Amino acid sequence: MSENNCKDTLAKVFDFLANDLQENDKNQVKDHLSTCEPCNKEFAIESKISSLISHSSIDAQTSFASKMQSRLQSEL
Amino acid sequence: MLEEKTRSTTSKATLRKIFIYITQSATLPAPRRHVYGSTARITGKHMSELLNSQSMSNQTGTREERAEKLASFELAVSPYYEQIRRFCISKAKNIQLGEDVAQEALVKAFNAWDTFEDQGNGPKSWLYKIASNALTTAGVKESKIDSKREFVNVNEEGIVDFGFDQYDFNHGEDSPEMQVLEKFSMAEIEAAINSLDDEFREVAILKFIVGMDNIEIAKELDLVQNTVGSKVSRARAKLSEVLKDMASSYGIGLDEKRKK
Repeated sequence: MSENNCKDTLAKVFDFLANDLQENDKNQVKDHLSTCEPCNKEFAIESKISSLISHSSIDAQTSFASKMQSRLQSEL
Repeated sequence: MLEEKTRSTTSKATLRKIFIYITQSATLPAPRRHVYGSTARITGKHMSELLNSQSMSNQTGTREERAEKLASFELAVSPYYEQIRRFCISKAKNIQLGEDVAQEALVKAFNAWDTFEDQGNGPKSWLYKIASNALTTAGVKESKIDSKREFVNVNEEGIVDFGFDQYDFNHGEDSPEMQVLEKFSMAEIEAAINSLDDEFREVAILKFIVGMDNIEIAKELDLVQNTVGSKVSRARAKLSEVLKDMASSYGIGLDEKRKK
């Protein structure tokens, strides 16, 4: 039973992080994660990876802008 | 037990490819690198050859006039850099190629800046046209320009409250994997995405690099929306696998270095 919960929860973690779950699914995930330490740990890693991905998107944006700036300077 | 399940399904060959990519482009560990221009990728010069761009560079006018041209170009066009970049990546479905084409297109736009006549709507559709031509020149299959599509810029997000207490790694056992993950940045994410199989890589690029939603991805790839949903989830799961494998391999690598 509990193992099933773990499996179900981990299957929904990505959608949970993307805020793509229905309210009752969301609550199920929350309930499980607040009581199951191994899953909570796994979730923390996934959540880290998600924020890593969005941060890298900001970094890419900044670096493209500065790359353009120096490229255009060299066109002068 | 859970850890075992998530561990290592990435093949050794894939990891080796990633290592080669990373070691060529950067040294690890490193904090977020903002300067990305020096990394080993197709350079702008290479791209110009690829695009066969005859130098449109008009070295006319005094230094001041040219500096003025740059200032006016940057004022009007730099707000669109990111949109053009994401547009090109979404069409090329390849991060490096897309960025290089975007850069080339924007340089062309700069050199032709004198010829741009504002009809009152700004340079956006003019820029999209130049980018679209640059994509065709670079061999990207022609596709409809949808300049109405807005590529939303990502903002720095704060700490997210998920509504429950999250595992605190500072108080738990030492997790080298997590420590290495902390140090990952663009280069690692891009390498991980590039290591995915075609069908997941395309989706991952459109979702995580370009920032499209599932409806837009469905349109772009000519897929049913439900298919996109499951592909995105699977791509995201695979991305995690690769990143975690990278993290644990780096962890081992770091330990070995420390021993020497």
